[in-house]
Amino acid sequence: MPAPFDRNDDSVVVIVGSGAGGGTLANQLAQKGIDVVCLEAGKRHEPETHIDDEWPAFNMLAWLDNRTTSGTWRVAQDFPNLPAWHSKCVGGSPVHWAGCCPRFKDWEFKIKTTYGDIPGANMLDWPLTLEELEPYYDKADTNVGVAGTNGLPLHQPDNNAKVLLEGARRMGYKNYSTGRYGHNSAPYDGRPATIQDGFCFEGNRSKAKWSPLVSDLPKGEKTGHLEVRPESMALQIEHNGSGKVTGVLYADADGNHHVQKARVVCVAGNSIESPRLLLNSASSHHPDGLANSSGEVGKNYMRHVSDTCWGIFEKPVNFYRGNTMAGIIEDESHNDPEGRGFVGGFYMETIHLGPAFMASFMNPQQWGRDFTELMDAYENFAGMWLVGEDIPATTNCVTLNHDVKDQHGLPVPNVHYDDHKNDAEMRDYAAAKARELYQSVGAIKTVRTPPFPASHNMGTCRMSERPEDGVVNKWGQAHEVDNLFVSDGSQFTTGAAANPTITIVALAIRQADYIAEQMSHNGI
Amino acid sequence: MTEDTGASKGPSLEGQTSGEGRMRTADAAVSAEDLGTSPAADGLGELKALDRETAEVLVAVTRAMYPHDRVPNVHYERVVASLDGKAAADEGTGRLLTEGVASLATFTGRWPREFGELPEEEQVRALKRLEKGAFFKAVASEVVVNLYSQHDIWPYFGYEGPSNDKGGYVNRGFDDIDWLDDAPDYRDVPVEKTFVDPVEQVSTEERLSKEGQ
Repeated sequence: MPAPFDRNDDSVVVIVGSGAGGGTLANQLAQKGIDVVCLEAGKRHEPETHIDDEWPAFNMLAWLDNRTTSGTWRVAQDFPNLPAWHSKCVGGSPVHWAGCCPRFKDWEFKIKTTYGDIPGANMLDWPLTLEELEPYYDKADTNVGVAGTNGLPLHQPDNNAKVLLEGARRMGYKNYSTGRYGHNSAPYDGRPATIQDGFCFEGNRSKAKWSPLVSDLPKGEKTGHLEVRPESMALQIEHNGSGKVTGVLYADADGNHHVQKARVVCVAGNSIESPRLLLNSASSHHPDGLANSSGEVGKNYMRHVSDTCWGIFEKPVNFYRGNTMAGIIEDESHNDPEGRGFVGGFYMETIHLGPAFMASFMNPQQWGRDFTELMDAYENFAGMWLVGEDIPATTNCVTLNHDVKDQHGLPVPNVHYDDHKNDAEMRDYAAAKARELYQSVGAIKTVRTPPFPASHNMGTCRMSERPEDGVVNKWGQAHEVDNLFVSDGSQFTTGAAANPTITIVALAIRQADYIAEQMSHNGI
Repeated sequence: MTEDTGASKGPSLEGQTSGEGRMRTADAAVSAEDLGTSPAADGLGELKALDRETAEVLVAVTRAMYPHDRVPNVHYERVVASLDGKAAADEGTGRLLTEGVASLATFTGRWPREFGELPEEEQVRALKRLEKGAFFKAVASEVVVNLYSQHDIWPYFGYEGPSNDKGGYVNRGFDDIDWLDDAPDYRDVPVEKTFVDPVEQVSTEERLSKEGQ
């Protein structure tokens, strides 16, 4: 029976979420002939409806359901109900992503071994190595169409990238370029080359930027084995007495509840909603939440060390002309605790914002002429985002806030985060390097922007070798429920310095092979 | 968190963005015409909830909070028109705004309607005393979101906005920067200005000593 599927069809794989993890997995399974129902909380906004205007696009694409925050992190103060900036739409957060595709380094899969134990940290090695994942990184690059791979050239640097790259040269850095980048540098996979339209966080009208919305989901739908069901908010995963999950309770656009039966359930709702769904699925069998005997569901929430540096120059840069992220320096992505005083590495990547977001994010507490003189210099800005590995900690976590209910009557997620000393030191070091780089090419002023709500959300259902250390095994399969998988960045054991999307895509492709193999001999 | 790099001796921000100011003012006027407005128009329009005097004081307050000398009043008036809409939709907001404006009498010792005529430093002094309160925050967040989202204000900042219907920037200057080879190296220029982040209260000096410079 081709899609759409009956809600009582218990032979389907149900995937919650249609982003980098869920959307990729859905297509991979569909291509293998496996029937998939993909429940997506958000609406389907086709690329031609995307809006090149920051706030209207944000209101269209972002996850805006109520959330709460706690902890000493700056975001809790500036954006108390917006701990993260990810999407609620078909295609998920890749609709909003900028496209940087660095891979994890081998030692970033084993930081407990590499860094040793650190007070305040919940260190753990991945049950997976770079060597094992490398073939899937290659497949992910092919799937996405990453510049610098698969015969695709690197992008031409835009104005913002040119400033970054010249600064890198003057700083004596060696490894800088426009980088591996998931936005077509030439026509690829039926999608056109970039027109450098200046908008990535707002979606992408031209389809040059990869996302499941323009790639995986339509491909999967074409097979007849994939049904994407938008405006379907998963509320609870149901299970039977023999320890298997049996379906997903969800609310449709009108708030009516339905159950979609399932043979396998894969959770890919991003690192806040995924653990929330497991915690909201608590039962007498799973009193602390589904698949949570370890107590690790929701723990080790990671968001990357994040800082932004704006350089202001004497002459115009016009940094908004071009893709949002279009240059990367990799020289600081190594681990050098003796030399730099902190463990882990970071990348320096270009970023630009339009005046609307610049005003909101540059320094959310500032006003008066100190603020407006900077805005007046907008066209002379260059910008870079600093992104580094943050320390996994049990105390950084997503929990249910039973005092606040959402539109479905469920407790909202609370996100608690405290910067570890290592995070703060890396951030200050990176900010100083960024400032120095821009000064080296004539910046007369630099502005340091505090962390935004994160688009990189990781951890919270971590992979582990031993069931007591985490939620899922090396395939993303729940340790205690064979037919339950986690398929998004939640399964990251640790976060590395790299932008997470390409790793999520690689893991999803790998997971699809495993699920298909397990289903073929009735292992699940 | 801003840090001057001592370049204030030579180049300063003042004037650097106004070189093309006249041209951009004209651009703004043109795009404002597209929107059916003009910089001279009254952006307040028909008020739904606030009385006119309160609205006019709010225009002065929004400008004092986020002063852009080159930006005509109509843009600030639209911010207040939006606040008026919120006041019409929610009585509490209306009260917050009306009482906030009335409270300016306490903080300035003058009638609220005179706020716009006060010297800027007096306006700022009064606003500083209010900045932690709900009135200030409501007005400030409206300015930040609304003012800088107005398409016809973008030319004042040299921002060209959406480009899709023009084929993107790929053939319209996405890589046209031409001064980088001659860019001066300011790494050795000492940091002169002390800047204290209003939230974290970390001064530039503290940051620098931490960085070992």
